[in-house]
Amino acid sequence: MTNKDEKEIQESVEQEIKETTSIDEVSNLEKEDTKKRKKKNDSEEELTPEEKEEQAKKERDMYITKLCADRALEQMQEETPLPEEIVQEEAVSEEAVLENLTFAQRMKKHMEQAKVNWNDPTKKMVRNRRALEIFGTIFRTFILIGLCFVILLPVLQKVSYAIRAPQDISNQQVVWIPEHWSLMNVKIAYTYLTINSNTTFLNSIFLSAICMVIQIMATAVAGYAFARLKVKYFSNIFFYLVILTLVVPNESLTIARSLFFQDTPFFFVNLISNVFAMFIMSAFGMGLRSAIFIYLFRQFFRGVPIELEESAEVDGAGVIRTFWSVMLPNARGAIVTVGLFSFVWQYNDFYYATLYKFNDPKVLPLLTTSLAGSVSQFRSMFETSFRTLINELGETIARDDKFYGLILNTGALLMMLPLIIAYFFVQRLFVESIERTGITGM
Amino acid sequence: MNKIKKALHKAKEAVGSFFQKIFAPVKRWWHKVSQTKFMQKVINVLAFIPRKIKGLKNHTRKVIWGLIFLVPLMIGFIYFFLIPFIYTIWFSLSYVYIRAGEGLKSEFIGIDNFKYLFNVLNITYNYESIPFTQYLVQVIILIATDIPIILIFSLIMAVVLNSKFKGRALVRAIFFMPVIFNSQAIDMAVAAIPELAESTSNATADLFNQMFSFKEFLTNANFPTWLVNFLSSASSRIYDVITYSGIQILIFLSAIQSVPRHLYEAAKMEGATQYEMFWKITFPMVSPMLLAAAVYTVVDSFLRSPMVKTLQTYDNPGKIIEGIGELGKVVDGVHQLSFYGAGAAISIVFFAIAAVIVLVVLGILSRVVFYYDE
Repeated sequence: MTNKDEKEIQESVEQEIKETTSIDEVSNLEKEDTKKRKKKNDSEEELTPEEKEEQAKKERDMYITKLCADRALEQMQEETPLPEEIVQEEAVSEEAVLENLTFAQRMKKHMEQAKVNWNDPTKKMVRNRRALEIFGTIFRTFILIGLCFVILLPVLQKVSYAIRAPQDISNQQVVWIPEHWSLMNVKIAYTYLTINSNTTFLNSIFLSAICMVIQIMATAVAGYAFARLKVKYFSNIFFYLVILTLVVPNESLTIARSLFFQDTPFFFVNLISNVFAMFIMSAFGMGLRSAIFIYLFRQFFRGVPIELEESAEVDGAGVIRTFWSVMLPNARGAIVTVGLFSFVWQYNDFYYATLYKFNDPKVLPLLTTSLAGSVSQFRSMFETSFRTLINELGETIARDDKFYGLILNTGALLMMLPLIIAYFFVQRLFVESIERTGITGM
Repeated sequence: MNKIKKALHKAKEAVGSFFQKIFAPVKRWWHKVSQTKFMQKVINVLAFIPRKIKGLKNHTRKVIWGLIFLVPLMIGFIYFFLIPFIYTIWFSLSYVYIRAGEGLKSEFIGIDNFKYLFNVLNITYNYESIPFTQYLVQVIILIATDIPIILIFSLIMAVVLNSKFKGRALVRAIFFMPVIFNSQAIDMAVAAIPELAESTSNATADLFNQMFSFKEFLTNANFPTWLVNFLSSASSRIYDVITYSGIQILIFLSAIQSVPRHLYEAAKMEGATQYEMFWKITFPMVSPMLLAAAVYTVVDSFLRSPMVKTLQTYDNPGKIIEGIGELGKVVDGVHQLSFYGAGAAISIVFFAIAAVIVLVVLGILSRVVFYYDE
């Protein structure tokens, strides 16, 4: 609204008032209002006639301005229709325009619109993000599929070895899918693994299960002592010494260990070729990679709120009672992690099994030591227990190095098999437990 | 799945009832035995320390309990680690021999064992005989390239495995399989007859090589040769890298899970991209675990390095006759060296390198590490 419009409206209103109504009529129109006011002003002094005139004038002016405002509003509404109508009209007109244009012109218009959209900064950001996301998912799926393939390849290879017949070994054309199918290799590999004892599989599982339990107990106690029962200076120094056992490679101590263990028994127990050697080692906190487990437990017990322990103490619990009834039940996540890893590592362990000479049939032949036997051992076994097969195949295949490799690979698959089956049951635990242990920071 | 769950539940119950059946009579028996006079005496003796401690101050009581809790670990540490470690150091400086009836004997000969290692010894590595120092350099290069590759790879994989996508559970299951199957015995079994593995892997690898030769592509694109060698070795050792990085991925995953969610939310509100969020939030928050992962990587890659094979040949002197012949010679015309002594010297060198690499890695990484609390 400009000033000119305002003036025009004011003039037209004044003219209308002059034409249609006199001042009295105007005052009549406002009678009710004035009456009300008079009632309100009853208690006040009555107005003089001059003052009355002034008041009437003021009222008239006010009425005119009011009318002016109303008119102006009406005019505005007439001039500018509702916004919804505008959009519709424009759209209709655009469509009409487009219909009238030629194809080239229409394309040009579309291109212009696209240019505007393309340069719009918010749309640009949204577009970029979406493109990145799509590219990322495609890239990720490719990488993951490739890596999964790489991981599964050796397993698939071993499966392929396991299901091919022994005579296929000299066949150059057999790479993945065998020409003759048979499970003969599995049978031979099984007899090779159980060469020293009939219960090799059970031995391995039994040893690692018991070691797992012992190791959980020993490392939890040590971890608790390191975390909460601190002795000044001593605890920290000793903890770093324990971590040092990780940094010193086991293999560099083999000579000294084997000589020392033979020379001096551990509390009157000779460890070499003793079934309990591994249990004793685990019980004294020096089992297979025990330092990692101690570190894990220490880190976990540090994270448990001190108030829990203090409340137990206030209730009259001693140190052992606090540890057993309050701390251990809370450390379920750490216990699961330690248990899983200690079982798996013990099952796959080769170093200690050879150090303590478990391979003797009188001691405790394990899968790992049986698998890593010698060629001559395998040949003698093969010649005694598979006489008919050798006659069938001929001596050359039985003496072939490749055949020995085939059996070793099948044996490796057999050794993995219990773990694979167990893994697909506890896989979830495996991944999630370490997330729940809450190891953060050194 | 439901059937499997039901079966598992039944098995659990069966195992539980089985244990109850076993333990109920044991408990009854223990209750009877513990009431006898002899057992009461034994229990009194066992409870001597706790009773003595009970009257003390809270702090001193805790210190004593801490020492008691650590006693088995101390015994184990001294017997299983410290004494063998000192033995190894002593052996490396002496001539060791075993005589019937007398047992182990050793004579101090100074650093002659190390002189022998660095001046005389040749070691077969990659089918060729090379001096010990050269061999050491090669092993160190192998390990030093392994560490960054494994750390970067496992960090990236942890981020990928943490993001949500279809089939994540399966991919995770497959990725942690190497942690389970990584056994020295299996490695040895597979490596025992290399021709067999080569016959299949060649057939598959040829196919890829014909399609796309990575190394040739890079050299044609004028990349510097050291970079080409590094990248091609990394890509050809991809299987090793994956199998060695299982634990590190687990460590990083747990670290990423413990990063406060609100940091990411704030970054998202400000319009940060995934890439920016990784460098500005995930990496600094995960960096403390970088130390643990790096130390584990160093230790682990040492266990798999060719050094271990060399040591294993020295561990069992009876196995290799050539070595004994070589060691039987009089070195420097003064001292005779024993097999055990030379092996111990190799062990010490091995350990020293491991310690130095760990310290260097810690020194480098401690500059990158960011602590949220400080």
